[in-house]
Amino acid sequence: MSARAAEPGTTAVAGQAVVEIIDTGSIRVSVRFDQAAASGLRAGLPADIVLRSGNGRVHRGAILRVEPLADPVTEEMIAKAVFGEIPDPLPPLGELAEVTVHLPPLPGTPVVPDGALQRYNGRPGVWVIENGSIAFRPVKTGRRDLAGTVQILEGLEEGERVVVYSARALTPKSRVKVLETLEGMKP
Amino acid sequence: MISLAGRDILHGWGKFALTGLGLGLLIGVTLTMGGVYRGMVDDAMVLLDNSGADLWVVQQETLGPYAESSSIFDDTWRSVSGMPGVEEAANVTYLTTQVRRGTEDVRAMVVGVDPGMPGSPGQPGYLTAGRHITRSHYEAVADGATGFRPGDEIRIRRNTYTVVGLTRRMVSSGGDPMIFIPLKDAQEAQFLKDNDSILQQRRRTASNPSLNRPGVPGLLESVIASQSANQYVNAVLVRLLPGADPDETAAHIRRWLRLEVYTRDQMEEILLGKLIATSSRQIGMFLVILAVVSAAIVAFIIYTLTMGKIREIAVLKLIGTKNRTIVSMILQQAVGLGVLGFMIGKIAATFWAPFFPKFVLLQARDAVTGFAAVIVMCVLASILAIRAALKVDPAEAIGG
Repeated sequence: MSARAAEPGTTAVAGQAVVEIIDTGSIRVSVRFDQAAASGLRAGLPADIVLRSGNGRVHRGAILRVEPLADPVTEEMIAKAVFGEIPDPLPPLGELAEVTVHLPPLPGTPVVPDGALQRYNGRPGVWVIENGSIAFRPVKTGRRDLAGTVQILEGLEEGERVVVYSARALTPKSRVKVLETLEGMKP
Repeated sequence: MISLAGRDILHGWGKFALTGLGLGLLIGVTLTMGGVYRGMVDDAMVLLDNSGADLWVVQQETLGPYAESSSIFDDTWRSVSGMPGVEEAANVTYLTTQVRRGTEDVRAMVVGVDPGMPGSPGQPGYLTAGRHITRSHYEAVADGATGFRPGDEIRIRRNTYTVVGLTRRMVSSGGDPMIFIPLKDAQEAQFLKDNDSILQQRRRTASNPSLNRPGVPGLLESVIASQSANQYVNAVLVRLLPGADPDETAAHIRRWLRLEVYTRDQMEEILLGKLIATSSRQIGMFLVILAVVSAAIVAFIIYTLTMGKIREIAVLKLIGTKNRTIVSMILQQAVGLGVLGFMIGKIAATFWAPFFPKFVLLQARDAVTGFAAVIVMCVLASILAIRAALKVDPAEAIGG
């Protein structure tokens, strides 16, 4: 029992809860996904659940269902995730959890790190290294993963070299010197 | 014909070099001061460039988001997107605060951006390390000037963020480095109160009899939920379609959405004319005084240098040297001193500029102006000295 809303002697009105009871056997994590980034979300996908108090411990779980009703105000989709194995001791209900959903792999396309995507003359694209100088190539991007890798649908061939990091904004006249890492920027 | 000026300099080269060095350092300080002024203006300009916006939509009758605070609802961007000429609109929040890493803290401008695809307005334009923000929470991209490295854990208000990428020259108009975090976190950082005040607010609401009536279950919860909602942003950044007229779109938004809109030109005027106006005028005033003082010192040095040689000049006159030769000697020495001083000054300024905490912009155009000013000053000062030298009586060489 998690809450008692009425004590002996309280005048109860119709429809008022008296006690709140929790079934500890079925806990769900209510997850909110940004609508813009929720393509491919469906029931049954495996998910990793990290509880705020869990010190980064990852619990395996899965998406139980995606709610048919999205939140129009926050522009989010709501889904319920379940633990594969309910953690013991039981986490406090209402605790913040972080859920990472594993999507099925996509067909192979060229990918670039998201640092390479830049905008020039109002168009998104990448700077390609050609014969020691650079040229801007507009691209069409697909999905992006959490490690910052972006799928390129159009505009790039496999094996082309692109500029990922630069010390200033680039123009076609920029002189480039190819370095594997920028000086002083080693992680 | 032998070079009198060259011979004279070689005769007392130690004195000449030291005078040149002193003069050089003085010119260096003046050039740096000019650089500080330029850097200040440049900081304001890069703030506008880096935001990648053509229009800034802010609260009505404010000069936001940089010069005044402004808050608008976070769904405004949707109606803005529907305006003619708008290609893309993005929410943004700005908050200048202390960002902590471990025990130290850095003053930074925390920018809340929509973690969409890189290249949307408000996002950092290019990176020097790591990647852009991909998660909607607890990730940050920082300017290299903060001293943070990818992988660092930093604390902004209530939450801890992981630095995932670095960028460069992303500064606020005050020169504070920027830290980009996801919009939702930034809204919290700016508008959400601390735990204690939330708790106290809840208790205050609960003890208010009109909001916690016995016969109405659920009323208190609704009231508390509405109190803790936070749906504001500081501005909407708008990128226009190629060829769209900014003034026309701005007029549309002003008329139909009843919000204030600034175009790039207006924003520039607000930043330069209002936000940094006093501080830049302060630096500008100091620069003028410094330039005048430097000019006066250069003039005095050259004058006294020539006056020190007045006996030798008298001897030259006695042995029948032409006035023209004497004039050219003094002039060559003065200009030589100016060139030497300017070179030392330029080198010194270039050397110490990177050590300044804020950006110092040494423009080539300023250097050219400075060089011309130094040479003109030297010539003017030597005219004074030449007049004195020509008036000297040859008899002084033997008399005295």
